[in-house]
Amino acid sequence: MTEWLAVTALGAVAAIDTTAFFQGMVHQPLVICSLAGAALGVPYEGAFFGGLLQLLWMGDLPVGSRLRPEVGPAAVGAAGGVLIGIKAGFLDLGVGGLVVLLTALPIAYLAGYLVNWQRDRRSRMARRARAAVAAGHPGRLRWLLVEGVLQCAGRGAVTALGAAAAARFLLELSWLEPLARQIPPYALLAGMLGIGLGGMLGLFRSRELLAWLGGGLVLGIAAAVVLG
Amino acid sequence: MSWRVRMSSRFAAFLTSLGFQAGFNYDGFQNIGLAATLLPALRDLYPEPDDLERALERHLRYFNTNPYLATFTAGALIAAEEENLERGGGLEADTTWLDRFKQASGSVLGNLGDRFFWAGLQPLACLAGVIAFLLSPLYGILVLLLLFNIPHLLIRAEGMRLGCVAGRGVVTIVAGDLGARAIRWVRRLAALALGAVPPLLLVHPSTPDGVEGAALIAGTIGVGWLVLRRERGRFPSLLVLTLLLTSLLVVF
Repeated sequence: MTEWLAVTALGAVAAIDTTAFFQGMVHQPLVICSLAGAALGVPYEGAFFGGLLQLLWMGDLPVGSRLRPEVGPAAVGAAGGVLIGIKAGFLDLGVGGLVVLLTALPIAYLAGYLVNWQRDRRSRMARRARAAVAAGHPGRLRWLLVEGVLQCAGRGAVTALGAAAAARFLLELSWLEPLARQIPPYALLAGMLGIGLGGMLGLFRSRELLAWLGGGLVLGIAAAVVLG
Repeated sequence: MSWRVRMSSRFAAFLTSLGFQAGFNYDGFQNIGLAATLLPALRDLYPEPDDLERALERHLRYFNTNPYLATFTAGALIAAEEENLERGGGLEADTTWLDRFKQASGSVLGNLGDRFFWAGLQPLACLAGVIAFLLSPLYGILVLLLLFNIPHLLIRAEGMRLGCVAGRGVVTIVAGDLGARAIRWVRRLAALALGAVPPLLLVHPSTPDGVEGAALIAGTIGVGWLVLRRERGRFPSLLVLTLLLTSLLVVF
């Protein structure tokens, strides 16, 4: 029970950080999933799932007004559900990684719709703000912001809990495990790396930035050779 | 310029600005966040409740910008309100300039902030985090958080200070050479980090050697190429989701 509560609370933190307060990248999968791993007593596995999702979502840049997947709560929920399974004796990282991907991806997109729905409903909040000011209670504006933070926390908690339950359910499916065992964890990581890099490369299409990218490649190879 | 707004009110405005997005809605976008941020300063400027109400009403109209650069506009609005009172403009004066300034600064700073934060600093912090993560997960988390949050908090705080000092001129300062140079450098560094990630990740001790390793590198490049060639404007993760669900349906 405590484990589910921890995952739910981290989902709330991730949602607040994504859309309401501070916005300091705590919701990035690398951070929030590692925190979930540390909280659940399986830090290595938490970091692995965080790294996997970070590589995948690196290429999704929140520029423009398209529907954005809400990554943080979905990632921590999916990883949390699998981590709870790992604590219960389920040990394969490759299967876990595939389940995390299968759960986090669709739920992140559903949560993205939820964000838009919540913002749409908040139009009432804007009317309440005007009414509060007109009634001589300007201090209520701050409480409306607090209300907004709490709404985000609720949304994140529900998303994370749903993702954790879905991940736990997928882990129990008998037909998925033999299939997922065919995929080694490093292949999953390499696939996600390809996706993240491919997504990011779109940002650096100018000749000058490609030269910097080439410089980074040379530096990376040199560092890899030195580090062995 | 005389400072009618107390230092403590400016600090309170800065702290409130951290929750700028919490009231985001499709009616006035960030209007609640902006009005709540300006509230401590407006209380100093308009001690009479009726005046405060009228001043706040003007700031509850539509406003939208990049949340990290919103303090520049908020600071400039505090200075503009002070200046307006200095000149004896008061609340009766024509304030269409206020709406025009909010709209102009919102779109200029929004564009600038998107390019600096979302397409520059965030990718840089994530990539540097991934590189440090290869040494230790803890380093990865620390590098990602520090690399993003130290500049982000400094920029937010400086935004409030510079806005209060420079007033409406703040947009010209930020959107000029300073902003362009910052964007150019942060994107260069992000490109550098992006180039360094694949070799470091692929020679990590957990990566297999020999034919398996070569296949892995080829696969990574292939996947990257496919994602790069995707339809513009689509998230790569949407492509993965579609592929995963389709293959699951086929297997099932």
